[in-house]
Amino acid sequence: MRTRLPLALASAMVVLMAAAFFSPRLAGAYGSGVNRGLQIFGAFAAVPAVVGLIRLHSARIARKHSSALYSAVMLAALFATVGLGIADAKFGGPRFMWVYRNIYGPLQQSVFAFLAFFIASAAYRAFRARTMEATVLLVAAVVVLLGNAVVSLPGPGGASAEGWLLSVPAMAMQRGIGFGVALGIMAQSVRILMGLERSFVGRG
Amino acid sequence: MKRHALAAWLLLLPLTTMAQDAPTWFRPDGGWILVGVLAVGALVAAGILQGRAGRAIETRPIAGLVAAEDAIGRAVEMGRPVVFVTGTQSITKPGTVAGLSVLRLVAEKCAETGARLIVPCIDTIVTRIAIETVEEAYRQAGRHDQFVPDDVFFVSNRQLAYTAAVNGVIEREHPATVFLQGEFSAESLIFGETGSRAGAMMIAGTDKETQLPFFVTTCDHTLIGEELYGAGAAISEDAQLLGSLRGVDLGRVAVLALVAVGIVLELARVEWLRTVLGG
Repeated sequence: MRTRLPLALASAMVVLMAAAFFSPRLAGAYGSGVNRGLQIFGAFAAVPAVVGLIRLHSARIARKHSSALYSAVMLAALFATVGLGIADAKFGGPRFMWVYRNIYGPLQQSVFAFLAFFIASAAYRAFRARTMEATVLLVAAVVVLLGNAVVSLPGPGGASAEGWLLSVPAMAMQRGIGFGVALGIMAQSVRILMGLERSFVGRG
Repeated sequence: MKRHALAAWLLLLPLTTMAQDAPTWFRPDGGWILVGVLAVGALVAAGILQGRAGRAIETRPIAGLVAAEDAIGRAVEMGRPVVFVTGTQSITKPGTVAGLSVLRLVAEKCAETGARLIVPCIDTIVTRIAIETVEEAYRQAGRHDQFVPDDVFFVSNRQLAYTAAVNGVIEREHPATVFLQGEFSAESLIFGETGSRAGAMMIAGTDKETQLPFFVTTCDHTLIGEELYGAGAAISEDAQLLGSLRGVDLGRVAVLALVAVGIVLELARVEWLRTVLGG
């Protein structure tokens, strides 16, 4: 029962959502309800998830784990943010938004900024011309970089070289992978419909 | 009987509340899409039924999956954990469901070999499913006592907060192997580089073609696109699941045939196919 009921519900939802894709009328009738249902499920699941998070970090502090300091900062941030949100007595109040704009926002931007450095180190590794494939990649990258930053080289059919690289070979690769992914998703949906795909109920 | 009638009435209730000027029953551009979906769906279903009937189906080995077993063995030898990331999207994304299929297989291997498995999650529902998945794998391996509930945990539902936390886990725990399986966005490169610098064997898989170059560059093995969706079925050795892969292959042949016909017709300046498909 614990496995069969979720599988039956999932099968029904596959049929319903596929039908809603083709029918604007069904999408209007069921789309928002399904989204609301997911939000409600997510809210229920949030309780054990946050409780588990608090338990995990509390245990680390109690055991004086090597990362106990980080755990203390995490719990302090969690309770302070929740406390300020409750003190505001409404979603998006001034105290909560101050934390969001002045602490969370800059931290988020800092993590995102790591990308610039990681791109440089990853590019160094990828562009070492050790093999034929890496050499082709290096030449293509240099052409696209030059074309976007300094000067465009002429390409086939009167187009720029970087434009041709992006719109012909790169696009062909993307379309090929896209077809494969679409077929894979179709197969997954049929497996869910027939009750063979069980990973989403945690029963393998 | 009354129960069925009540269920049907509840299901149809939203339709009865719609206004008179409600949208149409069938989208005008949906005809050929429906034909394509039904055709590929029928091929996949036929493959599954062939598998159920006992027809032997062979699949090519996927390098990333072959390496997964060695990677988990490596973790045991080094006495280091395995980290598994099921993507950064919710359970509504097909890639997340596919990632959970791979998690099940990795959890089984970890349970058999005694490797520690750490699964930080970005979504509360995915967290619950991941806990069930890993616990069930340990139970079936007869090692439920070794399952550590705190090793499968929710971190944050914010993309970059989650990214920072996973980076912290990789830096502090020094995993021997990191699996990145599911849907990823800009954080793919951050995960890949952090894992590589930590000396972990990296096995990635995603259906996002925009993130594939980052994984191919930074990871040891990458499951590309459809390989992620076929991974669970390919390893399971379940005849029905393998049959579904055969259906996908037949669908691929049909798509390639359609592309070939389209190229020939376009070169001959016959625009019939393009007109029919709405191009």
